[in-house]
Amino acid sequence: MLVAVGLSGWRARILAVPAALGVRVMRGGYAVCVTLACSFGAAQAACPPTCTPAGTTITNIATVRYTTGGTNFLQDSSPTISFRVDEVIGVTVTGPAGPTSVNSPDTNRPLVFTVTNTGNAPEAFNLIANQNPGAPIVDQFNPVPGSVGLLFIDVNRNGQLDIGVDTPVAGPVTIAPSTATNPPLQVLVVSNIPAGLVAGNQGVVTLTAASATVGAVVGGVGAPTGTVLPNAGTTATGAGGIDAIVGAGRGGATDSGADDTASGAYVIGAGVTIAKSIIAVTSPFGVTTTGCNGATPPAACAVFQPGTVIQYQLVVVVTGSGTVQSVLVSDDIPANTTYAAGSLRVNGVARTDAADGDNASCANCGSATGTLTVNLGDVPVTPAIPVTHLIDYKVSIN
Amino acid sequence: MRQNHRFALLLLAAGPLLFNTPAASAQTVELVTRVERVVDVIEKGVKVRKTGPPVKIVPGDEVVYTVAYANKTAKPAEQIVVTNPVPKHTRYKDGTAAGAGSDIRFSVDGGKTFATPDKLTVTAADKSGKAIVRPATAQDYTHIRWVIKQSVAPGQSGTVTFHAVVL
Repeated sequence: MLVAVGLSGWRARILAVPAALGVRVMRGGYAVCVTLACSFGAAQAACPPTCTPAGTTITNIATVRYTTGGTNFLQDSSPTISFRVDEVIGVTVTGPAGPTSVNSPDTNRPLVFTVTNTGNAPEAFNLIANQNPGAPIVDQFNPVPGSVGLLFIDVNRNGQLDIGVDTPVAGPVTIAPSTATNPPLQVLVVSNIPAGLVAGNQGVVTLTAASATVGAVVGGVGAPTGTVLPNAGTTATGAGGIDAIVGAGRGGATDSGADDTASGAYVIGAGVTIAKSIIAVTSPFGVTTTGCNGATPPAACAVFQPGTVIQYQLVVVVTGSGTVQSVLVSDDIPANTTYAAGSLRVNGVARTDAADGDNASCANCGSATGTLTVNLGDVPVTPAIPVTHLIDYKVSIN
Repeated sequence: MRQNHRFALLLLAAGPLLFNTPAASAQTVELVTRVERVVDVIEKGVKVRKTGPPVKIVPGDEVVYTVAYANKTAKPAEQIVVTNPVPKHTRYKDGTAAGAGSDIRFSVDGGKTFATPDKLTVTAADKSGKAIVRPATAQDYTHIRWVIKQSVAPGQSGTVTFHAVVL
């Protein structure tokens, strides 16, 4: 996690480094896809956009026109021939695009998944959530089922868990083929988050939709593409008597359309903000004016001339939950100023400029390219109670 | 009663003449169509296209229609034109219409007019709703027509074919 904070005219930046142990979970706020089950972008449907409903009879009649002399044309037509369209089974699951920020602990946090019937008939699917998917998925914690339940259908499609409106999933869910007027099913995987986790930690859950047609998914494994399930199909109107055929999955012909899995993730949230201001100005004549950071700073605060000493303050606020690890603050000495040796303070306590036992130092601070660094280390945060650190130092205008 | 009888007889006799349609028992150029499923099978490691009965067909599958014509009249049949609509719920597969000794034409207007593919256009609305004319593609074809170039002698026959993909 990299937080860069830009301030007009100044450069200040802050780094919060996640735990070192195999964390490759956050990069610009998006989960790094660690498995084929990750789903970003549009899902490839088994059916074309307009798919012939199962049970449809496709008929054909050819006609002929000819003459056996003269201009008296005769015509005739062939007997009608027809064939029936069977059911194709197909499903795609897509997960949330990025991790959802949560607290540690937290309760009943939903992740929104989309389940699309890409077949040509209503089909029943078993929905299976896995909060501990294991390899190849790499994560740092396992969410547990929400206090109110694990799986809900997002009936009002708002992406939130609304008890009493959204219905718990119990048994197979019949989903109609997706059309413009019949959008895919939205499913909520609802989790509680354990206490004591470190900010940046990620917990991945997966949702699998598997056809409930007998033979389509056996022992958790989808039957190969093209598998014929005799007399197991249903027509678009729900009648039986036709065959069901397993379509291709979105992974291509070798990926069965009988089931599909997507992943989503929770991440223990952390927020670090930094603000920089001038809190005091000392004129070359030794007159110090404070309160320069107020709503109506004294006019003396604006007296900038060579020899004026400016005291800057950095306000670092850490929010979130759990522990925000390795918070490192750095600030470049402004151009055309000279750092006042020994002026660096953290939370009002003086620090030496040297890189030594204390948590602050100023590198090259005798030159024009000096940089202050303050290592705030691991910052434990209680949800809703931000932790604030104050850093101040002085420079003089050249 | 007697008048009614005569009227009925007149209708029977007039039928073929009015509609240019030979009665079932009459000699005609007879059409028989057949549809088969096209499947790819791996034989000795090589993908081979085969046809089979039209069963277990789902959207995206390809079928081949064969239209056989046979001159069952006692005279040579001339200017034979066989027309087959692209069946509902299917699209014509580009480049698949075939028929020995025939010129192949397509229609994009429900069979009213026929032309070669390069002369077919369709009018469609663009994003702003403005009507634009563009060249037709195989998906636009509504009918296929085979104009048999040679006359077909009594007892002789031929076939024309095309492929369609189930939508």
